[in-house]
Amino acid sequence: MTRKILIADDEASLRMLVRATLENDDCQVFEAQSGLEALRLAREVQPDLVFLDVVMPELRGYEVCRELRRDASTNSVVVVMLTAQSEPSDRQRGIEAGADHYLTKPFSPLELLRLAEQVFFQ
Amino acid sequence: MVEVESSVMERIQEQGLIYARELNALYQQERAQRRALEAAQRRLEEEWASRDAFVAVISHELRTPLVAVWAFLEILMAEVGDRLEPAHREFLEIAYRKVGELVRAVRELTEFVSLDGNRQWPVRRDGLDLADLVARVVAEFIPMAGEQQISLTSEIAPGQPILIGWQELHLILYHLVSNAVKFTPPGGQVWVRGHFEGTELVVQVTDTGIGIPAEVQHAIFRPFYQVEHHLTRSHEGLGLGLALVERAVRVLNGSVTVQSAVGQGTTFTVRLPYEAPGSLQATIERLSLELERLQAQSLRIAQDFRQVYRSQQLTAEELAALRHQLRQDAES
Repeated sequence: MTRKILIADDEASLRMLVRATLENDDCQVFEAQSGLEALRLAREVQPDLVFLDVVMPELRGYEVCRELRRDASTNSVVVVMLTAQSEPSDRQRGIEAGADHYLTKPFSPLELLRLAEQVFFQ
Repeated sequence: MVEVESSVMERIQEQGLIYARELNALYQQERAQRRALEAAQRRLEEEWASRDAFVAVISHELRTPLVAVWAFLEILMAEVGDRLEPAHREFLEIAYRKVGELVRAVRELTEFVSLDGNRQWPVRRDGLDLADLVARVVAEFIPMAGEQQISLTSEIAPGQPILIGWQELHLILYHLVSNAVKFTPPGGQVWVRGHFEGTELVVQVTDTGIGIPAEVQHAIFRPFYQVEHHLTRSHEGLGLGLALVERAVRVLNGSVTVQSAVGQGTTFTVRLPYEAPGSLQATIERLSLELERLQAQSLRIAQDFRQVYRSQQLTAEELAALRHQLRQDAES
């Protein structure tokens, strides 16, 4: 069974890093450059796991997350907020928006791998 | 200037992607290993349960009654020993000593049966610190060595904990040290040495004891080998100690050899293959840390970039300072 991961970030290098770290025969990675594209792709491909950058054009990560939770077709997806900020209030905002996890850049790629394994196999 | 710095950035990012792909592949490999290990572990747990049950029955049927007799004899000696005639008291002491020998013999037999070469008993491999295990075994024999004025020392090369069947390794060390202490005259020395050679653990037990004649060295690992063939002595035991060592070594896929000269001493050398736990895991963790560092570096450079873009109105000095900062971030 192929798992699907969506990474939404306006930084191409970060999307590439997430893809290189997580993509394999059993796991497909989709990329979105903006908040709106993230929402559209999430509804279309129904990912198991979504990484959302907080600061993105059009729609911020928090809003994307809130929208995903509101939509019955995407509300059970596991959402991880990615952010350069590390203020406790950001974490709080992410959790209020319905995020499951919160990673601060630079994040540990190993943590990413463990998180994906935890989501896919439990 | 921006072109120069962005090529630095590209190099960092390219390196990052290479690491990330490598990390990804290694992690998949490690996960597959981990899952296979977990499945094997579950199967083994069941087999261990049957091995443990088997040994427990033998131990219970033979050893428990003996230990009870031994303990009651000890109480009798302490409570009524003084009131007995000297001859009767001596009978009691002999009985006590002989039952003690039986208790130890049954212990050897139990170990021997549990290492039965015809049964494919699974080995429980746990992370083990060699120095720790040797220290524990040596401590068991310190009183006996002290009584006989034998110096008993150990030298263990420092190393990571290793994955090995530690019950078997404990048994090997126990019987080799026991043997060395038994066959070394007062004033002699016994050493336990351990070091790592590639993927092998090498343990040596050396004594300055009576030695083993060359013509019987091939026979000493036989079960129930009676030592009086070459030694007239009154050492107790079933003659199972070295047979146990040989079986345990075989269970661990290792080898045991002996070097000895009569009157000079004996060295037993045991070589056992081992695994260093988590070597793949250690690589994964190193890679992940390196990637995190690269990420941080590129984040810092990106931040510097943004400042450069905002710096159209900066003075020449301020620009020079920024350029300097950029180079430092790229190099760090």
